[in-house]
Amino acid sequence: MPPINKHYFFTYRALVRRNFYVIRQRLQHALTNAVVRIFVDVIEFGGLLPAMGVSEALIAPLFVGSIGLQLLFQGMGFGLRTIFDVKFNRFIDYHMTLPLPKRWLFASYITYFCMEATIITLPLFTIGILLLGTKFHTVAPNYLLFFIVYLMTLIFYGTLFLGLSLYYEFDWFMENVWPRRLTFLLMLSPTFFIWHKAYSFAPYAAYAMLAVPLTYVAEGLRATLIGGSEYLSAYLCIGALSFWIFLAIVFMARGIHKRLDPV
Amino acid sequence: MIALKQSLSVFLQFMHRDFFTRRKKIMDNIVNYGLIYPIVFAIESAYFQGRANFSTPNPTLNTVLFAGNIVLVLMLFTYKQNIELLFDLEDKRFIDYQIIMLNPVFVIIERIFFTALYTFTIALPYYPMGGLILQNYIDLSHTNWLQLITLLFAGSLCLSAYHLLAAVVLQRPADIGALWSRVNGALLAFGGFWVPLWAIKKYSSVLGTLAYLNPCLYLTEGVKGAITGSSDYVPFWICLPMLFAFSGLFTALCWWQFRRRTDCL
Repeated sequence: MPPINKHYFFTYRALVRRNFYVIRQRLQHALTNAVVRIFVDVIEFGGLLPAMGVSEALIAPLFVGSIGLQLLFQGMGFGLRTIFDVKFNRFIDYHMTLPLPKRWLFASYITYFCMEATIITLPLFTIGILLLGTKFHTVAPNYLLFFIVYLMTLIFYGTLFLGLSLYYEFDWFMENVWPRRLTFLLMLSPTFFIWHKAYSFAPYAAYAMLAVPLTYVAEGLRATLIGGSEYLSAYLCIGALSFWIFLAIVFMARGIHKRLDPV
Repeated sequence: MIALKQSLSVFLQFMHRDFFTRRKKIMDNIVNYGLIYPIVFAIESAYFQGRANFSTPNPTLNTVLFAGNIVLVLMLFTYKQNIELLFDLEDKRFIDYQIIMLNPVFVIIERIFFTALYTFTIALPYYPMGGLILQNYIDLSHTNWLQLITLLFAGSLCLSAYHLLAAVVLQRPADIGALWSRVNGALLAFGGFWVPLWAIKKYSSVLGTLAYLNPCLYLTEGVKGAITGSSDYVPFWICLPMLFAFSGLFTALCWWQFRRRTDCL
């Protein structure tokens, strides 16, 4: 490895260490938020919806769909922190002066998001599944593939929200990013139902959902954590998520040039 | 009498000022909250969820699923309008100028009332738009429109007061995440966003009893009852007074906390 790359690596490692420090500072607050959300989700998906008439067999896929939603909320929090920094604090200006290529710098931002989201959400989802107990029916879970889909989801959300917070103006982001971007992504994906069920009564709409990245998040997490033939193939979801990560990186790069104009 | 007239004049001028500062975003808000949300929620709840998640889907069930979603629209919009006070208290403190010009309690009432009116106006097209998009899947034929409109206003007022209270209770903007995660999320989930009170009671009588403390529940139950005409939901004559009672309670708490925070007379 040429000496210059070693230097980059050490700077990157210092940033990651700092990220751990920041996460430690925020951990108690963020964990409390996540614990409340998980308990609410467990009661809602594990008890209330079945009481309303939803089949018990759908508890597991709906709860797993809600995991995708929780990760989206984590991503939104990350996007908000970034856009507030770009608009007000400009701590990012200091980062831009570090002796580090910009791609390494923004990789450290996404690494930060992945670390934070994993530390906060992964143990809680495990607790959520344990709380659901026998209501969480699994067929053939594949935890290695689950971890891959989970990590790809985090990278996708990290890149997407970094891109959104850099690409759009502060006012537009605050007013419109949720209704005009995220609502479509969320509500037109099978987060709160199963894609195959939608396909059975609305095949064209189901095909249209394949153009929405959150379809692969929800179905990929279901296919790997629950298993069986009810969901889209895990490998298809991994392939599609790779494609969407690539698109998100292109979008983020445009946002970086637009907002930060790096040399 | 003259003092009252002057107060009323300043009150109306503040209302006008609020309208003036928000006028540029009115079109955006109409598109977002009066067009995009009802269309997307109608498709997601009434079309997909109603048919994919329930063994016996029918237009009434679809309508109930769609009807409860209004609480999220009102929550989001009142939050966006009233949380500005939190940022103002942190930084610019325009509020200091306002409480010099007008009795602070009227400043609070003006903000709550303006946001309620604004939210109510933005939310009015919600159900007609949903019905227009999914005519065969959402049944609005039994709707008591007068009750529905009255409930929408009462709900807007209640959630406006609630979010102004949140704005004065929260100590810093970083706490907003906690507000949504720890409080608003639970209020929505147990407040009839999807699940009506009869299903909450069926699951747990304790949770069903606690749900009566949730102001969102009276909005969603009242709206569901007004749209379906069914007696399965909390009756209108309970929901409406409860929404006004919660509005009064939140306004009083907001005033109490506001006085402590701004140290005004």
